[in-house]
Amino acid sequence: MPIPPSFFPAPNSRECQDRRRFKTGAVGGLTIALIGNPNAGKTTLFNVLTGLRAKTSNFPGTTVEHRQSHFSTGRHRALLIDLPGLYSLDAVTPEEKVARDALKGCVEGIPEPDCIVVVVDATNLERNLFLVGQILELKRPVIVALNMMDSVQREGIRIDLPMLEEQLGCPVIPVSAKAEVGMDELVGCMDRMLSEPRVPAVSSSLMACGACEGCQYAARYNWAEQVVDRCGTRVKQARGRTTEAIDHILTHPVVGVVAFLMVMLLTFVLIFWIAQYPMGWIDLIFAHSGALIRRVVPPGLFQSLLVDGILGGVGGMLVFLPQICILFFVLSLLEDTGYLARAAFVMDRLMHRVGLPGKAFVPLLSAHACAVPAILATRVIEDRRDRLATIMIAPLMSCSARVPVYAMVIALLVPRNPLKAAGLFAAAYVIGISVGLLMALVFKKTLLKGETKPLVIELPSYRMPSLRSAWIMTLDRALVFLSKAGTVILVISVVLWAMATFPRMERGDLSGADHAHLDGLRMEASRLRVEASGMEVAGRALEAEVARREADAVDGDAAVFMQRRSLEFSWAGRMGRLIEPVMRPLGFDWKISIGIVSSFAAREVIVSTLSVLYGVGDGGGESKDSLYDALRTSTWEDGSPVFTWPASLSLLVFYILAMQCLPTLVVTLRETGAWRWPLIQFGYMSLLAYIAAWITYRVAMLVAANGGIPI
Amino acid sequence: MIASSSQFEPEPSEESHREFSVMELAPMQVGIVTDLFAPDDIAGRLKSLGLCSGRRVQLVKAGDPIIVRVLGSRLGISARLARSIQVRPDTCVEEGVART
Repeated sequence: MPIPPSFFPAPNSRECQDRRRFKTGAVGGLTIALIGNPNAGKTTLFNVLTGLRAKTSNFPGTTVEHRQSHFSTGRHRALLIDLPGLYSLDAVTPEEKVARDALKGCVEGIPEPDCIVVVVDATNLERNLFLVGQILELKRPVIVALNMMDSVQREGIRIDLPMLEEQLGCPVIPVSAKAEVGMDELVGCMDRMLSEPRVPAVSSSLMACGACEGCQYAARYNWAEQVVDRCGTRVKQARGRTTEAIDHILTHPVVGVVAFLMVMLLTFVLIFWIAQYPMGWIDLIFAHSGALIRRVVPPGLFQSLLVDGILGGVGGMLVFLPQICILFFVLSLLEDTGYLARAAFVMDRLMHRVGLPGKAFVPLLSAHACAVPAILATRVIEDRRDRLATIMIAPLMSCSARVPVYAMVIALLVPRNPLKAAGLFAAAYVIGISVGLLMALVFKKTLLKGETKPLVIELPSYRMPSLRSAWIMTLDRALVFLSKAGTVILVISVVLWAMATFPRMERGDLSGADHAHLDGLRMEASRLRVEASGMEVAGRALEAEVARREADAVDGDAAVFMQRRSLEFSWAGRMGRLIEPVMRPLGFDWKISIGIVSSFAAREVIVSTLSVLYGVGDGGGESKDSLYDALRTSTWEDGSPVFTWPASLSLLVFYILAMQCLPTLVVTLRETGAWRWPLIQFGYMSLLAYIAAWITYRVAMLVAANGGIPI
Repeated sequence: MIASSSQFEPEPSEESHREFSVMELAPMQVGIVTDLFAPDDIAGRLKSLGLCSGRRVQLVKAGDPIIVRVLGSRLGISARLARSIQVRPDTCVEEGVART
């Protein structure tokens, strides 16, 4: 019978005839591709089979990721590839297109698979069989892994496996990825398939799909329906009752949003509370390393590069790793349970108001830990414009690096008042989110004009998540983060260090007054030491010790003073002084300006920069032991305090909105593929920060002048 | 479709030929998809999820977005898009179990 034209796949899933088929792998090895619907448990299965050996990489020329691993089936070694989930080979999104191309061997670097394993959700057989049907028609060796058999057993669904095998014409292996059951049988089947490849015996009813007029989808679904009818019991109505009951609450337009906000709050409380332990350990490790290097490497430029530049910079980033890891872990669990789909569902309507899809909320959520993984997470957003808008506003979400800065400034604003401090913290987060959403609206109305794609999302049944899978995904993501952001941060740290060190200041560069000050300190130290020896001789050992300690403190003051002057002398210092006139209207003096310049590439640097600049420890008569005291008492030339509450507030607002993170810009460049976007990101955020800080300062000064709120 | 075993044969009436959007189904009512008035790429996505001519769809929760049941799984669809999914009432429901 002549094959009717409608038998051939729809136009946008054309055969890649014009491109070479990549028949053999780089090392002539075998390739097994894992494919299936999203939510069918494909990734869990992959993780169970390969454990930690898997490596994440991009499909060449795209931002689509996939995971692959070398894998032994017994008699053969093969490359097992986890392809992105898709519902049909008629691909729409870039992920789906690449998955389809990879299956057909049209992707460079990924050979045509020697065996395709289709992961099917046994509780959703009819829908999953649609894809299976399309894959069977590819005439490649296929194995169907019937996943979620544990749910099938629990719900009392009966599936006639031999009949299913007969209907599909290929081996069907029942498995449960979560319970790790059936793995050996699956691997054994892969092994046999690689030894003796068998092309599926496509049944006549599948072939006849093409004969139906009208939508070929309809024909294929009819075939799927037939197969399911012959092979199993109908799904009982009772199934999904629990899911439906929970959803009744969680998808309610009001209660659902509240529930989601609470989940979000809980997640962040968890993150900040648990993360403080590993963060403390990391701090300790770096402090010890620094001490070790100081002992081993002679003092000088090299030692400074190692300790201040590399260790300081990299340590500053690594300290956020625990928070990022916990966030990934929690999100992975939530996704596995199926909850994230509900969250996208309830948030969609609200996010639509600012022109964003519901799926944008996970990246925006993650951005509160760090914008780098958040921007990578925007890949789930299908529409390019929606994705760009999300990437543009992600850095406005208050990330972990801002926390030390907020802490510093808020301590100045409301000292010793934890309630008000918490309130200000919350306000900072809210400002970031609100401005972000506002900017999304602006972007969608101007640069990224276009209707947001309507929401179409599958709500899978709730299920217990796989801890092991979440753990593996977290480690994987952490490694990706370290490699992507880590290299950038290493480079930045060295550059920043160079800017803050060079040009080196010699004693001759000091002003007369500074010379005098330093000499004075030196004489004071000597005097104290002489006193100490005198007391020692006179047998007043305790007082001698005290005097010696004081001498050490004065030496320390001198060192800090030199450090401060060196910083002012350096490129960073000169830039700070240069931009000071621009920063004055915001209430910032030149020291804060240097801080802002130095934190251009990494926000939290301002805290350590200010510590140096304000000579924490430097002090003439009084000793200021903490940065807080130093800041609080610092003054302009005329003696008026710098950190008045308007100035502090203005600084807070500046840091909420400013783009001060080079890794974020780099990731934006990578993900969007155009310089335009990171430049726009930097430009609009800087402008926003400046204007907002200026307005804050002016308004606050007015209020203060009229005797208004000292918070 | 298995014919119902009730005593009355449902009369072919105007009712079964009336077309309306899936939004207008009563909660838990089952309809049969007749048309999709959506741009090709979106229609493609709906079809690959099971919303294509002849398939049954059950409205689980009205609102914005709505929840429907198709091919045994539940989908969330924004109301704006749902309005473009045309259905006709399903006059034939297996006893006790809705075939969606």
